Amino acid sequence: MIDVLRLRRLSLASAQQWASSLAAACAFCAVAAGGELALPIAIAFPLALGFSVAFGDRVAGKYQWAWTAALVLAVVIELVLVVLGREDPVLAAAQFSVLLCMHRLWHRRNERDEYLLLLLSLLMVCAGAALSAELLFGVSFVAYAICATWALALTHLRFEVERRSEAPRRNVLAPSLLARLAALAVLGLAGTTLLFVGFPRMAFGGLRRHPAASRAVAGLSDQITLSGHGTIADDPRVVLRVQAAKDEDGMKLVGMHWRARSFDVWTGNGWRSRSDLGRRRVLSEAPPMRRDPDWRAKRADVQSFEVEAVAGFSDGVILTPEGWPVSAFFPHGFGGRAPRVFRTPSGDFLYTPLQASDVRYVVNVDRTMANHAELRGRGRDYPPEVAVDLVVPPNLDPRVQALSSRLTARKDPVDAAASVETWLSNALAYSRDLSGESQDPIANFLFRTKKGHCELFSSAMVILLRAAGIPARNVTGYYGGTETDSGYVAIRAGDAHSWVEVYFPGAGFVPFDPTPSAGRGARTEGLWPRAVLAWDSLAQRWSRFVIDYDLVAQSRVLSSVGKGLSRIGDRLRGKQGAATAFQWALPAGIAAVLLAAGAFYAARRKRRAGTHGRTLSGDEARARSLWLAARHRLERSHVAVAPSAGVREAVERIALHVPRARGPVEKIAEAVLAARWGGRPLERREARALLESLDAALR
Amino acid sequence: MPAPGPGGPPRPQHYLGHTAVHVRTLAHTFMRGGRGSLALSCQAVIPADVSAPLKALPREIPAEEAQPLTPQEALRLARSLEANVARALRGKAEVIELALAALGANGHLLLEDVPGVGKTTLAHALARSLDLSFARIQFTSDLLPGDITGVSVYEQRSGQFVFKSGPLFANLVLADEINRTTPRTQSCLLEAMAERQVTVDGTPRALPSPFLVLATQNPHEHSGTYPLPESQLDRFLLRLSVGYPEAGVERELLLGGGTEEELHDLRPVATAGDLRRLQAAVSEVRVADEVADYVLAIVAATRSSRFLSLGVSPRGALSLMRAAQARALLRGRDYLEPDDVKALCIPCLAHRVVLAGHGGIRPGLEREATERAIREIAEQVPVPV
Repeated sequence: MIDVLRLRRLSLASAQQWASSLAAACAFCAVAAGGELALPIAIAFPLALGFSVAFGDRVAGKYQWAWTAALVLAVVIELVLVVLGREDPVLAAAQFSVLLCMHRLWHRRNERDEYLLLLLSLLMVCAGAALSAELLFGVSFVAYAICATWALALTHLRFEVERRSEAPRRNVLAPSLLARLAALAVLGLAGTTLLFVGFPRMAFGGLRRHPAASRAVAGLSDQITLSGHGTIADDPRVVLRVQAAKDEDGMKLVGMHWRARSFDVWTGNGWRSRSDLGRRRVLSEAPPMRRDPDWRAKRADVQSFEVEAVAGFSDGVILTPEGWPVSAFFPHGFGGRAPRVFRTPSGDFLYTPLQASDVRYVVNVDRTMANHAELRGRGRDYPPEVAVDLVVPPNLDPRVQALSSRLTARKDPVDAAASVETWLSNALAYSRDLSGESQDPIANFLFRTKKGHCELFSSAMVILLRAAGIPARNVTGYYGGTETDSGYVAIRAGDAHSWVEVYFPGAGFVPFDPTPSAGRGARTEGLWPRAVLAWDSLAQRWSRFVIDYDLVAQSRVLSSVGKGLSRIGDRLRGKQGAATAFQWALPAGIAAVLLAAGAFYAARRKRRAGTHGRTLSGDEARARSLWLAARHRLERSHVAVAPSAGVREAVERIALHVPRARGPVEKIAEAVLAARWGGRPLERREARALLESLDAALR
Repeated sequence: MPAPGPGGPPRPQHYLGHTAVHVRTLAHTFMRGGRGSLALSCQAVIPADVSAPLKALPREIPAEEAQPLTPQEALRLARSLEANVARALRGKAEVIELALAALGANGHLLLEDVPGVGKTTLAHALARSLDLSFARIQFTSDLLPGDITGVSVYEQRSGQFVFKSGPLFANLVLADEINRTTPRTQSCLLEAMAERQVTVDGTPRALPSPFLVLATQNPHEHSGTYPLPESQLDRFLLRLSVGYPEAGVERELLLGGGTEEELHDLRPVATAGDLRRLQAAVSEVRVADEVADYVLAIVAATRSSRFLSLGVSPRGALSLMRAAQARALLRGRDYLEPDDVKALCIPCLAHRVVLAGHGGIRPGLEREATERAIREIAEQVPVPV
């Protein structure tokens, strides 16, 4: 029997330790989600956690001086780094909270330590909220909430059971405990909701910081190198989320080209953007075709796309869909720090990069595009600014020149471009396997390997057209996309694509895509890409409903709450005649509830007092308060006395746990019992002296 | 066993230093008319054969003798009795204290234990230490009520029926293996225990005072037994089990050759009069309202407990308070503490309750389960502070 009880207690204790450790681990994940923690700390915490679980009992309480020294050193280092401007104060505080939590993990001896550990883990979660607000933090936060609730309940249970170890009670899980836990949970939930609804920027955005460095992303770099790569990895990460800004039926979102940058200058084995032109603030600008008298009559088909560039993938480039981008703007103000949008002469849309998580913008695009017939017969009278798009590499392979002449001879530029496009996509094969050849990758692709990826196709087409005297340039961006359940089209890093724009006088640059359509876009099969997509779907909702919950949304929520309240008020007031009755009913009801609560509290107090309404005599009352005071002092020395334990029982227990207090406690017990139940006198002076002797013993 | 005659060893008349009053114990009275013991299956160890008519027995004690003991006297009495009994029953101070508490509260004891742990020794030692008359009745299935109460016998010389009292007419009656006899004989004990009188041939006859039944039963034997009904169990103030002695004590017993000699050499350290004064003092032990409420709270908890189908009766509540008062007095206090009540919960209440749905529990474990239920109740009810 005793063995079983002991085993149970052990398992409860270990369950409690595990729950606390898990809560600490979740808190660490929350703080580490931002990826900014110093590497030593990021490594040390899991180690400390493991050690504390494995050897916690042996090291607890030892090497305190070393810990104190280490913590002081850490404070000094962090302070110096902050003062020197090498480290952010928020990050420094977060790292220090991790250190404190590690320290507490190593010293878990009693109830106080366990509660402190939970408190420190909560501190870490707060630090995590300041460091990052990504979905990973959200998930860690939820996990922490669950584990911390377990830990809280189990910690209470464990120490309650241990306190009553000499007579284990089965009903530790008393209804009052459950009710208190539930009340705590409801209170926490209500408080969090209130905080979130009331102070959204305080909750997540306010203290948030953003890493300055962004990731290198395929499709957005300002330079292209055609050789020297290995195989392009099928990167399933989502970079763009696209949806129609307005509810429009039948709007095509999947299988579109999303243009990022254009490249005009051939570097010998790749491309770079031209840098000879400035850029200007974007204002609404009509497509060049609109200058055409025939086109003016045509109805402009302007569509709005809402594009969300996932954190770290927005490199100051606005991606625009097929068609002429009329304008672009950021619907969310970013707190008055709205980025400025520029348009380069080559048609790229850029914005001043800003430190934010996901960047959302709306692009208005005129989707009316000229067909080949409209482009035909525009001649070869090219303006000087497209001269850079006619530059042919000086050491052009004669075979390329010959092929170009063969494909474009005696053809209108439109037909020439179409013929090159068709030839490339038919005669050559798509392959993601890139050869390591660095000498003239175009000739190598066209005549030797006869297979390659989109950049080779587009580069080959540009070179072939330029060789024929038609201005063309290379364009990068994304192609394709995957429909998701959340109503947006996800475009992945693996969807990076490259195609061609050909210049026609009076019509501007018109896109052509020589890559075989089967080779475009990312591979979306497999478990991993699907998992990535599901995660992204969650992240999108998190970003939309939690992070981007801003002042506008807040005012909307508050006004709807206000409206609801006023509607309830109207209903309560009812008609004009009944108004006075209801006006009285509400305060009266509140008063009744308050009175009932007060009466309940008073009755409970009386019941707790154990006097059943009888007024105690002076000696009795003194004895009672003497015992309560003694019990309180002992509780502070970690000897708790259960309410169901009598005075003598308590004395036995105290003698067992705090032998030095035995004498004073026995004296107190005798005096208390004789005065409380035997009607003996108990002088105030005597009571005070007894209590002082107990204090002295406990000291 | 030959009965000591009137010229037996001189015995001290008072032990506690109070006013010297000539105390004539019942044993003296019985011994005066010492005869052989009753036949049948009852055997009186200390002569229990009472030929003197009952009315000769002092039913009510004189007022000066009933003067209650002071707490200090009670403590001294308890210590000397405990020390004396402990010579025969070693290492069982707690059991001895509870048995004395039962005596003090004027209640009956049920000893439930395996054979050979000292139940009879306890009864003998108590009787000897208190200078009480003692009778032992071995209960068997063929025992009849008349065998224990006594019968009216036709006396030819006088031509009248004369009542020959049975072994029940003793201060301390050891009812051995009480569950072996038929319900009819068991119920005969009911009247004796509750009303302290027996009715034979329509005539009620008072039993000697003090009167204490010390019944034993073996909890592990079930075949051929008649389990005591709840009504009868309720009449026992306390249920105790002596339990095996500790290893060291048992070793001493083995090497020392048992305690029979000590038992035989036990001398009385108190008189029945002292016992009566103790009993008188018990009811004067002060009980605070809160402590009485505590008793009621415990009793109420047994009635509402989901582990029990039958809670404690009002008689049980009264018994608990009485037993607790006796314990307080034996510890030298004239006031009752909540700890007294709590300490007596199991011996005083566990046999009065019925476990809920105990069909699935083996009879041997039932007792353990009820005791656990009572213990849990006692651990749940807050102690008044």
